[in-house]
Amino acid sequence: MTMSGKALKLIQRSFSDLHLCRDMLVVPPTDHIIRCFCFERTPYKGLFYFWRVVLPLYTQWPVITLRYSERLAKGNYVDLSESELEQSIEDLVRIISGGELDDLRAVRGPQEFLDRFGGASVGEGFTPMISPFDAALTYYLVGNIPFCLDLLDDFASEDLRPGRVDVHLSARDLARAMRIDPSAGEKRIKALEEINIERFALGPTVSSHKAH
Amino acid sequence: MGNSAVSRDRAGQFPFLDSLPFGAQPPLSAPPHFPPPMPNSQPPNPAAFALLQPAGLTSEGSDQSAPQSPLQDPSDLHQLLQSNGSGDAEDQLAGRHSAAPATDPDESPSTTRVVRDSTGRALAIIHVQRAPSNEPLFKSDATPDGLRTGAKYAQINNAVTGNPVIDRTTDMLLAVLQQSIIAMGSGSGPLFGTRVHVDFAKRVKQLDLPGIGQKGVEQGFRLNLVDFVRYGMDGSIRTDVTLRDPKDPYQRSIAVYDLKTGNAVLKPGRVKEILDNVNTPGLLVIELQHRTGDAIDRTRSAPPR
Repeated sequence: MTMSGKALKLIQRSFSDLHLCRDMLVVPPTDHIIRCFCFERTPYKGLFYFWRVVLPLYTQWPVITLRYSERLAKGNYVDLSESELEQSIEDLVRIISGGELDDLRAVRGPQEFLDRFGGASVGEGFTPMISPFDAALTYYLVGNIPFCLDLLDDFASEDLRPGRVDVHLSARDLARAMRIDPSAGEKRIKALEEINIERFALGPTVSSHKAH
Repeated sequence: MGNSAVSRDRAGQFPFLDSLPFGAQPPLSAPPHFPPPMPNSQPPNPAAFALLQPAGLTSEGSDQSAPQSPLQDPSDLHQLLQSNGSGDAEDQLAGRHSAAPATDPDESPSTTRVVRDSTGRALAIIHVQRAPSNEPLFKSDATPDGLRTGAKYAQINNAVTGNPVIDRTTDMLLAVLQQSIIAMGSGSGPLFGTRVHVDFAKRVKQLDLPGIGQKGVEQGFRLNLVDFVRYGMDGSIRTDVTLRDPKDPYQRSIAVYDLKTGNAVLKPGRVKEILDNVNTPGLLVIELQHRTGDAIDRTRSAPPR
């Protein structure tokens, strides 16, 4: 077992309601938003960063990205080497129970996600700190289809950049489909979420209505 | 914004031109456009990038008996920044290069400066490599910092980019690096470099600098992903320090600092790797290279070939 995997298991002992899904300690239930803790390797053996991660379940990226996440422990390295493991776990448990877990629990749905990361102009459809695709689908989920379409249109009309062409085209296609049938947004979100539940092994954490 | 990306892909590597929506004109047909030369610009020097670092070394003339840095007290971060500049002098090894000619897409402007202490001993080398782009450096519509009456400003005067946010951050990071080197003591080799990197990262995170914070230290990027990622992901890179424009609502990256110790230098391949993965128009890649006595001596004492 990896150092970080072992450490997550040890942390989980103190938080029985959290689920270990691959290399993430996930806060259930996962509805539309993934909330978890995870380690990040560093180039230095035994030293890790510890993250509080928030990510829309409908992300189009195939990996956990960290835009909406924070490094805990004041951004310091966490030493998971044998000699320091016990102390480090103790520290992390203290940090998690000192408000970080409650903080994650508070970001349960799309509206909370928008409130947390959308910024001051979220009511005007301007959410610079949320990636355009995430923001569009989040607005869709809270029922604001005009903002969703605006964001998709703006994003699709940006100049193409290497590596991001597929996402641009996907946004364009989604906007077109939604103009014909607004439920296309729901279908897209559902498809993305199903893929990501499988990809990140989130099955045991998904909320019951989603599981059915 | 897109023009810059297009100019970077001028070599025909843009794979989706045929699928441009609505019959849009391929943006590659636009004539290349480069930013106007910066003040005091000099003619482009294609060999500058490869030659600047050796030139810096051979022109130093410092030795082990050279007086130590004036920054003897590692706890006083601001000593360096608040000096009036009379103590530290700089050599501009290669002035600001004017924009690269349109016929050579691989060339981009670069600037290198050597920061010296009052005795003329080299303290650090700052090398700035500008991403090829025809975009203005900053997309923020916020008013850039300007000098204001009655305000106090750091006087180290290492300005190399013309952007006060970047230059001020560069000064801060140099001072932090100076502290790291002093704290680490003398040394050389890869292990010493690792120790300096670890210590430097800790100090930068503690400072929680604007535009860097704690996430901007040792951040992972991967081509094709807009967001940053965990270290170690296949195909990802890690930057030592990433500076985001604190005035930009989108918080786009404006500079990446690559720390080099000893005789390590920032190579063009690494610059390209950073530019490709961070993938932000107008990004600057800045090499922070601190020269310790040992590191310089290691070069000088190398057996003759």
